[in-house]
Amino acid sequence: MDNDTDMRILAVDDEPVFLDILEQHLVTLGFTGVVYCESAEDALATLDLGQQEFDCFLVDIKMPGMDGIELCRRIRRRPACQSTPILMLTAMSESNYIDAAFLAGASDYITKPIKKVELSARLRSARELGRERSRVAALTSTLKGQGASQPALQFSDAVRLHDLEGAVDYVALKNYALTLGNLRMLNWQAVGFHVSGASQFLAATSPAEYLEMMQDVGSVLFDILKLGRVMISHAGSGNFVALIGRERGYDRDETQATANALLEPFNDYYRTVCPVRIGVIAGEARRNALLSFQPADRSIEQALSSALIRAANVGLTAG
Amino acid sequence: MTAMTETRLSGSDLTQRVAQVRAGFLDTLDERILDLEGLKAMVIKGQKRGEALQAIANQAHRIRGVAGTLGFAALGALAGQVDDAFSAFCDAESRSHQQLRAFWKDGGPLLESMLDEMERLMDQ
Repeated sequence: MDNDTDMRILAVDDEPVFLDILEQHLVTLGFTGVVYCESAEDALATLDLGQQEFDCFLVDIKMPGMDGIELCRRIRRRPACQSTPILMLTAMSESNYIDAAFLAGASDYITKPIKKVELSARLRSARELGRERSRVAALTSTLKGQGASQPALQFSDAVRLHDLEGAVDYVALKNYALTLGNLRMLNWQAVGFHVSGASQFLAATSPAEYLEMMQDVGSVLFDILKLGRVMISHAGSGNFVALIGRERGYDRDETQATANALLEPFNDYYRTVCPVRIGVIAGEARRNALLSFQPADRSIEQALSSALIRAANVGLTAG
Repeated sequence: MTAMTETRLSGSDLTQRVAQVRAGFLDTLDERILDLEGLKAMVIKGQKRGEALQAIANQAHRIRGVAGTLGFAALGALAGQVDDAFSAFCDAESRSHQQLRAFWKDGGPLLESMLDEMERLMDQ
């Protein structure tokens, strides 16, 4: 895939007229490797044939029979598609559909009626995301011993933790916030976490062991936060960020203390491979302001900054 | 499943193609109207009411997704209202007969407005 327009796309929508419009836009933009399906079942059958791989999926959410959210989930279950960008297409604006789509593995969201400029921009982002994910997917595969060799893992890599419930890609989490916009993001608060000792752990061990350790930390954080709505992402550089429902309270010190207590048994093992203790530093909860001209994902970045500032203050930055 | 797209359209081809898609959509309106009228009758007569309401929401949703792009903004807006209203009612956990009657008081005329707009476009 050398050019933007070399992307192989599978587009799924039950409305033939919409597929006609989409084809018109895609052809105008120069995309020629597109397969169009009129149902989720048809799309899965196409994937089952295995005659070609796809670089991007465009999936309508509301379809009779299997809907787009279930299709998204099933696409994600396929090893070859775990890192392929999935852009959801829908006229739906209700946040429960958006939440469900992102939790099922969607990468981004395009609102109907589609506009060519927006479609072009989202596909360009998807291409970049796909490239990065392909690289990171190779790293993640080492977790399960699938990799023939262990590729270089950069500390800054935001690796998707596939086995972690409630986990979404960091880029998808930011896309989710941008999709909701400032008003609906008021229902969420963002919290950042910094994992102290993470960079030393990576330096002292292997990428596979590092990813397992981050998976452990992510699971601990999810267990603490899961009493309400939660989405969590590994943001790279030893950081996690979570969106938690605003209706629930968040106590920074209690969350941090609980996380570190739950990590203690893991540290018994970690110490056998790396002398540095793994710990969690929780940041303050950050919320979007109603009347703000800042992008809706601003609170996510602010939450990460808060965790890093706290870590720096206690001299525990990871790298 | 349609075949893979193979060629890039030229400017004139594209204009022609837009006109074709638009005309194709207008050609589907009579079938969609008949479909919606049949579903409306099912709701009024109480025949498979839940399925009929959901099918109306689905049809409105499909129209909503394309009408605006094809230049039928008024129809797109009406379809959006029908989609939102009917979907919300279908998604509700309980739907008593009284709730249905209350819903239909507004939902029925809303559906009728969308059907009127579809007929107007057909007559153009």
